[in-house]
This record gives sequence, C-alpha cells and structure tokens, in this order.
Amino acid sequence: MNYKLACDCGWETEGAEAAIVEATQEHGRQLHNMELTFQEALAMAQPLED
Amino acid sequence: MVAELVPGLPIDILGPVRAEVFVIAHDGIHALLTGPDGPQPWHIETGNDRHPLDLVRDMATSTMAEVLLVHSTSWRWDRQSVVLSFLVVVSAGAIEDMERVPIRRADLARSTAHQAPTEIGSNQVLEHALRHLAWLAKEDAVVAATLSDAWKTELMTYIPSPFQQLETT
Repeated sequence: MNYKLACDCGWETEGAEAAIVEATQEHGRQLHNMELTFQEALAMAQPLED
Repeated sequence: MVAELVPGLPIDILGPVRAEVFVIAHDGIHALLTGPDGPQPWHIETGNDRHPLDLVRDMATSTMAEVLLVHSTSWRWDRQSVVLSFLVVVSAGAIEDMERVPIRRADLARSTAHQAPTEIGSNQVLEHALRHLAWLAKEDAVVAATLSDAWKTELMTYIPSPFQQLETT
C-alpha cells in the first residue's frame, strides 16, 4: 500500500510506508528540528487508494 | 515544577517555544519572501538545550547558502506556545532555485494599552520585522554594513513618515 503525507509547511511525499516515513523523518530533522519516530511519522500519513 | 537552568542560556524554559523564520532577499527590484519550504514562514521546533538564535542560524546556514543576517524581531503567544520571530536575510543569488514572492505591505496588529492583539497574521509579523530592520539599518553599524543599497532604499519606506522626512531634510 502507498501513502501520502503532507507537512504543515506544504511539503508532501508519496510512496511506500518505509520510504515516506524515512523522507518525513529527514524533512522534520532538516527543516523543523523535529525528531519523529516511525509511528509518529506514519500517523501523519494517509493511505492512497490503489 | 522548577525549571532547570541550562548554563549559557539567558532564560529557563518550561513550555513549548517555536521559531518562526522569515527568509528574505532583495533582487535589486523587489524585496522577496522565500524559504527552504517555500515563500512562507518557516517553523522550527526549539528545545531548552540551545539558544534559539544559535539554532536558527545553524539551521539557516545548513539549509541555504549566503546567509547574511539573522535577527530576532518579536515574540507572541500562538497555539499554546511562545513563538519567536526571526528575519534571515540571504543574498539574491542564493535563492535562484527557491520559490519566492514579492513582500506586500500590511497594517500592524495593534495592542491595547494592556492587552496583546487578539489575532496576528504572519504578514503583520513580517511588516513589524521589516520596520524593526529599517530601524536597525540606521542604528546598528553591523546591520548597516551588511545590507545592500537596494535593501536600504527599500527599508526607507518602512521608516515612519515623520522620521523619514527628517532624514531627507
């Protein structure tokens, strides 16, 4: 299953679970000084319909 | 609960504090709002282990080239946290690949004699910040030496009219 995740700042990512979580953790660290756990990042994601 | 004062920090912090950063540049024609995540305020979480100015400076310089100036301009209470506003001035050459928009003027959010404004828009925070920068461009030698002539000309329009007239007579 693929997911879409949008940050409050407008940044978005789409893809498989592990990929969007990793991208979001990196985005949070680089731009917002936030350390997100896997579950915290995944909780922000919306599943995409196939 | 008693806060633990971190050595070297001027304040002890219990509640959440966020930094709201306005990344600005001047291309010789327009003052521009930009940022690593678009032309909007850039929000950064702060902790109690670093001075917010140091954090903003380090994140700005690690994300963008040619950071010329980092300056805190105001604070407010918003969404259950203290928000510290910063201006980060970067050179025009550093934002060629970044989305940007011309900065529009705005009315200031006004307080009463004893109460903060009930609502403050980010354009009003930026207006206040640029008025502050206009004052610094006149009063602070480091800021004056750092800003380009285009910035100084632009900032003249942010100086209140009576002072502006005094400057030109």
